[in-house]
This record gives sequence, C-alpha cells and structure tokens, in this order.
Amino acid sequence: MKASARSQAFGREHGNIVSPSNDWLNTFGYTLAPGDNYFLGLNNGVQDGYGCRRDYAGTGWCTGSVSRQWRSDYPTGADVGGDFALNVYRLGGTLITVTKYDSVVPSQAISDALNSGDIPNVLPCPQPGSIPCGAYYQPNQSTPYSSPGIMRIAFTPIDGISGTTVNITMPTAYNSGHSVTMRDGDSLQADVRLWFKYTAFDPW
Amino acid sequence: MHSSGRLHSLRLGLSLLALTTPLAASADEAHSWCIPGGPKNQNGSSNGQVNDIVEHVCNASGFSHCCDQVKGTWDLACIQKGSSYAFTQLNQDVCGRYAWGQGPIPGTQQYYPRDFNLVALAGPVSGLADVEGPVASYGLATARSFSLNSAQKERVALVAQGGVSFNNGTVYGDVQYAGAYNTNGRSVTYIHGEPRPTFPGPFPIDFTTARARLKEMSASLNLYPTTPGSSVTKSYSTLTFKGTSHVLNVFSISSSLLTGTSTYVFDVPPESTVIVNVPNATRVTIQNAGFSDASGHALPANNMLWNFPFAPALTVQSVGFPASILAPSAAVTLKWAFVRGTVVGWSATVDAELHWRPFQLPGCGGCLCLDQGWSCSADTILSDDGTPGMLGPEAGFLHIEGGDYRAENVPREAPDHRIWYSFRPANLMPKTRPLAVFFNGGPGSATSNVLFSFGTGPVKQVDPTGDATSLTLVSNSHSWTEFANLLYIDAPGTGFSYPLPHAGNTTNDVGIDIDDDAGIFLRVILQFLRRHPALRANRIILVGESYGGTRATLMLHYLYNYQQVAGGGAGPYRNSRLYSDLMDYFSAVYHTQSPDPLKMKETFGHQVLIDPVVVGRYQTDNNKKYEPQNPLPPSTNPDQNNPGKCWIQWQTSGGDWVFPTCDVYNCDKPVINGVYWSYVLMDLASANLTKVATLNQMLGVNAATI
Repeated sequence: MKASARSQAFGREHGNIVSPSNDWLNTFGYTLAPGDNYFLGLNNGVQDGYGCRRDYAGTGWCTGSVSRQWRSDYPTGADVGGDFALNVYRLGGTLITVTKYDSVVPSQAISDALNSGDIPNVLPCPQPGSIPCGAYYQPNQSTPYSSPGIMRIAFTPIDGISGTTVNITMPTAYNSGHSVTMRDGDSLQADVRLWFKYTAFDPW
Repeated sequence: MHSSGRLHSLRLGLSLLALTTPLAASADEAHSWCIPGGPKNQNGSSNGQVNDIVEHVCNASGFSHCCDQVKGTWDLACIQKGSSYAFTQLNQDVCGRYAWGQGPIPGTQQYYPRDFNLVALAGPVSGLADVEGPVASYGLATARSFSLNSAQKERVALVAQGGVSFNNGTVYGDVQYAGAYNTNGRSVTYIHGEPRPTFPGPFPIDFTTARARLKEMSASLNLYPTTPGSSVTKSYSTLTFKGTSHVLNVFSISSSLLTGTSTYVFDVPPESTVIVNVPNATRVTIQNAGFSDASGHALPANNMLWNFPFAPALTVQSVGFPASILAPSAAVTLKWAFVRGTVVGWSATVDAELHWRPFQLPGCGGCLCLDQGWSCSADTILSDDGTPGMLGPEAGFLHIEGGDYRAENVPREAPDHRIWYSFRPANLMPKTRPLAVFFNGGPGSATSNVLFSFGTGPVKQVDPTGDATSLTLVSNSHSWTEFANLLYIDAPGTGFSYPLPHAGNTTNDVGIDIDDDAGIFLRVILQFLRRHPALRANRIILVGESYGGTRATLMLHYLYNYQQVAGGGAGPYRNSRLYSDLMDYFSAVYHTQSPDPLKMKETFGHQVLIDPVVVGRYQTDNNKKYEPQNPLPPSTNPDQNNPGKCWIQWQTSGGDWVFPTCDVYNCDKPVINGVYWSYVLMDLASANLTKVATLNQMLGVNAATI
C-alpha cells in the first residue's frame, strides 16, 4: 500500500478519486506516481476497451486493435449470453436478484435477451415465454428456499442430453435498486443462506 | 516408564541436530538460528549443516538481509526459510516448529495439537466439562455434564483412541473414536456433528509419532537461549518476567521459583511471543495465582507457551492460566482453574474450564516475508510452510503477473496487476465453509466501496440519519460470515488495486479487456486458494454485481473450457499463465488435470448475481419493458413519454438530453447536488475507507503494515 512500494503505478487518474485523510498520508506517504491515486471508487480509464486508451506517457489514444466490448457489441453479448446459459446448465446453483427500483439493469430482461434467437445453447422459441423452449421468467413462482421467483431456461441438446430445462432462483422481494446490499442486505443474506443450504451439500 | 521416556526424548532432541562437531557446543549453535537476532555469517559455524542451512537462506532471493553484517538482521523470515529447508531437504525439524502442526486429521484441515484445546499423548482424559475447543485423547475420554468444542472453530470435537464415556452433555462437531462409545444412558446432544467410529482403518491421529515429535519439540524449545536483556526476578510472592523483544522473549526458570508465587507479571511488549521454559524433571505445581501485564491488566491470549520438557507431573490449581502448556511427559491436572490455550500432556485430569486460544509459534508476519507475490498485513502469521496456519481476518495484495496472451486471435500484452483483497473467515468452523467471492461491476467499479462496505461483511457502513450526509460503522448482524468465508476483490485498476508495467512492455494500457479481466479474477481466486490450503478444496460462491455478472460468466467459461485457454488452444482467450494456475488447482483439488464438469461443479457450482448484465446489449435493449414505477412526485419526472416511470435519460424532440432527477439505480431515491443518491453513499464509503482507523475496523487487520 505504501507509496514507496507503488512508484510505478499508473492509469488511476480518471474517475472517482478520493482525497485521503491526513492520517492516511502520514501512514502511507504523501507522494504517489503521477498516474496514481490511493483509492478509486470508479476508474473511467478502463471503460472503453483494451488497446484504445491513453498510454501512460500521455501520447494520446492508442490505435491498436480493440478488445471485445461488453456493452455495444452484439456478437459479444450473444457469446457471453451463450456462456451464461451453459454455466447455468452445468452449475445447478444460480441466484439472481430482482430489485424494485433499478432502471439501468433490470434482471427480468435477461429472459427476453435469451429469447432473441441469437444466443447459443438456448432452445430457439417461435413464441418466447413458453417452456419447453426459450427462457421464461416467473416472478410469483414460490420456491422452497428463498423469496418467490424463478427463471426457467430450455436448452438445446448439450452433452448428449436433450429437452432439459433448468431453473434460476430469482428472488423478487427486494424493496431496493441496484446494489441491493445497500438497502436490503439482511434479506439478501437470508435468501442466499437458505438457497445455498438447499442447493449444495450442506451438513448443517 | 516416564523416566525412560524423558531420556528418549532428550536423545531424540539432540539427534535431530545430527552434527559433526561435539554435541554440547553444536546444540547451542544450531538453535541460535532458531530465534531472531543479529545477521548470520554463512561460514560462521564449525558445523557444516548449520552453514548449509544459513547459506541456503542467505542466498535465497529476497533474503540477503539475513546475512548483511551491516544492516541485516536474522528475523523470523530467515528462521522460517531455514526451517523449511531443513524440514524438506534434511528431514529435520531442527527448531521444533513443525511438530506443533501435525496431521491433518484425514478429511479435514484440522492439525494437532495446534487446532486443539487439549491433547493427551499417551493416557486418558478425564473430567471434561466445559471445553471451548477440540480434545484429543490417546486413552479413554470421559466427560460429564459437558459442553465440548462450543467455539465451533474446528469440525472434529473429540478424537479418542481409547473410547468414549459420556454422561449428559453437548458436542459441537464430530467425535472420532476407537474402542467403546458409551453414553451411560444419559442424553448427549450433537450440534453439527455425530459420533463416528474409526474402525476398521487407521486411527486419525498417530499418537506414537505425535508423542515423539512433541517431545522433540519440547526439548528443542528448551535449548532456545534466554533472550538477551531479559530477566526474571522474584520479590516476595511476585515473579516478574521482563523482556524487550517485540518478536520473541524466551525465559528459563527453575520450578522452585513457582513455589509460593501468587502473582506472575509479564512486562513484555504485548505483541511479542513468550516462551517460558521450566526444565526441571520434577513434579511442578502452579497454584493460587494470578497473571497480568506490567500495568495489572490481563495478558493477551494466543502468544504465550509454558514448556515443561521433563516434568513427570504438572498441576495447575486455582489459577486463571493465560497460556498454552507443552508438557509431553507430564500427567497434567487442571483443578478449579480456567486455561486459555492449548494443553499438551501425557494424560489429563480436568476439573477446569478450557478456553480455545490456540498458541501458534511465531512466524513472520506479513505475507511478503516468504512469497514475493503476496503482501498482507503483519498480523497474518505464517507457518513455516508459508501459509496462514490459522484462518483469521486478512487483507493485502496478490501480484498477478502480466505479459503476452491472445484474445480474439490477436496477440496482446497485459501489465502486471497488484490486486487488493480482503478476507474474513466464517464465524464457525471456517475450514468447512464455502468461500464467497465478491466483486462489483462497472466495468471500472471497485468492490471495496460497495459490496465490501454495505451489508455483507461483519462490519458495515450505514446511513444513520437517512439523509446521505455521513456513514458510520456498525456490526452487521446479518453478515455472510454466518455461513461462509468472504473474499472481496477490487478489479484491476479500481479501488485499492493498481497496475504496474510488465517488464519490457512498451505501453501501459489501463483499458479493460473483458476476457483478460475475467482471466485475472480467476487467477486471483486460484492463487488465493493455493496460499490457503485450509480452503483450497472448499466450495466457491461467485458473487458478482452488475457487470460482475459478465465477469462471473467468463470466469466460469474459462474454468469449464480450460483446454481452450491453453496457449495453443482454439478459444477466444488464451493465456498460458491462467492455464498453468488452472492445472495447479485441478491437480491439487480434483487430482487430475482433465477434470469432468461434474467434478468442477462440486467446487465452482454456485453463483449469486446481483442485478447482473449477462447477455450484453441484448439484455439492456430490453430494459424499457421493465422500467419501474417512480414513487417520487411527478414533478421530478419530466419524461412525458413515460409518465410515472423511472427512466435513465430523455431526449427532447429538439435533440436535447434531459437528465433524471432521481437516482437511476434506486429511482425512489433523489439526486443530491447533482449526484445520484447511491453514488453519494459510495463516495462517503470511499472517504471512510481512506481513514486508516476506519479501514482497520472494516478489515479486522492493521492495514498500515500492508
């Protein structure tokens, strides 16, 4: 942590920079590298893809090939969505929160996205929302181990097994938005604890 | 029988040294490097083996200070390095450090005697009543109206080779036994455990070997020289131990000094380890006495050991004894006392409370002492193998080496990353609990000021007034430590994590490659597990928020499709370093380098995704369908196309953007001075994290030493 141990740190000058307290500076040192800060709540410098950002010497924008974009690149979204579905199929244990006041990332939209027809591993569905094809979100479906709510996904044949559907636990009761632990941490902990108890080998 | 045992142990203790020079001189010489002190001379000993060990340490990378005659010092890192070398290369526990952590008991990560409250090496244990930690008994173990292993830090509550006789009590954990199991017709309740006969098959503790090694250890500790400058004085009925070392203070006293002593005062730095050797081969009694520091306050637990290498009997009576006891040849009697520590004896008669405060031999604090890729706070005490002997709060950095990799069939070069982590062990039986790994999203968001700060760990930040003007720290009654160990990771370049130039690279790109970001995260988890053997095969719960859902998805994809990650693989992401870490994990946990997915599911089988993005823009394009109702007054929502809805931003027919006046992430909350309510809380949390005292409270460690 000490300034003396991070004299070559870089890339931490764009974002939510926090000015440390005096006791912090007395403890860890006053002088950091030009491109460094002790704490960065959000680093804007990482958001536009690898191979496309300022370099440390400040020579401007890179012109090299850009890494996969998470947000605007449709093929990447389909690839990741397919990987997600396959993970759900293989893992057996997935819990996704649905919060009441999040207008940026509503989890319910995952089922619509999986029904787009572009997502590998998910069984294409002429009329999305009906199992045994596509993905179907059921907010009022009771579960034995958490608040109500599941999403059911029907899969194309994988590993020689066809006609399989898998449930994702999607508790819906949180009276909060993004980062549910800020407001409903107690409820989430209780749901996760119970969900884990029932979905894992848990001798307790 | 005891007498011959003592002679045997002494002979073994000396034979460990295997010296080429006369024994009397070489014994001191060998043990002089077992304690901290001035720098060593690589050829300063007349004993070739000592020179070999010292030379090995001083020539090791990062250990030159051990022999620097001007600025150097022979510290605990030097001792551990030498001990490890002697143990692995010469098969000798010269400093007696390895004997304290034998085992583990098969199927657990429970070592003996380190993880026990009471161990009887050759005889029975009788009279067990109120014992916070586990007990191991060579002979019959009897307990009446008892509570056993109530602290629930370890899985196995009792190991009894000579059988069990219970009478009315509660056992927290398993009982592993040979011989008879008798409850005498009375009630015995098991919490989180059951009685498990061990026959057929070998008994889980090899008492013969344990006995021999602990006698060797006791004899070895007895050879430690008294710390220079230390003293022991007796005035009337007060015995005062004075030492100035902040690391290790060794005292040696005659048992005669214990007679008539009613007050024991330890005037030593509170963080130091204390070893009190009582070498007499006589019956020893400590009774009707109290212990305190120089100010009259209670002594800290865990860091004091009383060593009775040759005593045939030891009685501790009417004493609050704040230390561990190593008396491998003694019939130990604990009467009307309470003991905070581990008690090791030949046999044990107990009419006392035993509190679980296991002693750990001093190791070098802070992880860098043995591992240049891992820094952590100095209160993380490492065993001689370089791993934390016991699970406690921990925080620091893991150095993830960058370099060449391929993504989308394009060669790329990543910088090195120092990745910040915080670890909090589960409240009960942490070695048996899953590891929940927390990370936020962004990309670019830290974990420290969100999931770490709010509502998941033992300490949380709360807004006491509800007006988002300040946050205070409170204990979290719904901490996830109730059922899991917790590992928080700040993403590359965020929070406390920072990148460094990889050797020889030309540009230092801070942008995120979604593939390498996930690869780095997976490597952090695998490398953390490698450095924590007690958790290595445990279940993992990935806990990702927002973009963390994408990250978790790719991490699991690389795990399940490890062949594609290999340098010559066909996947979109190929990284030989990740592949190497995966192979190391597979070999250690699955015992194969080509595991079946069902096998992987046993460990990486759970994920918790908090409002995640997992299908990229396919998902966010469908957001509008799920815009929640806005409970704020209509005047705060100028989007006439969506009256009453929460919304992100709105473009007028003239093309002007109108920005919301509510928090888009919690749209029942306001924008405060132009900043979303949730961002205000995150900023307040960040400010608290950069106050040393507050950070220490949240981490449970001394961050100033990281």
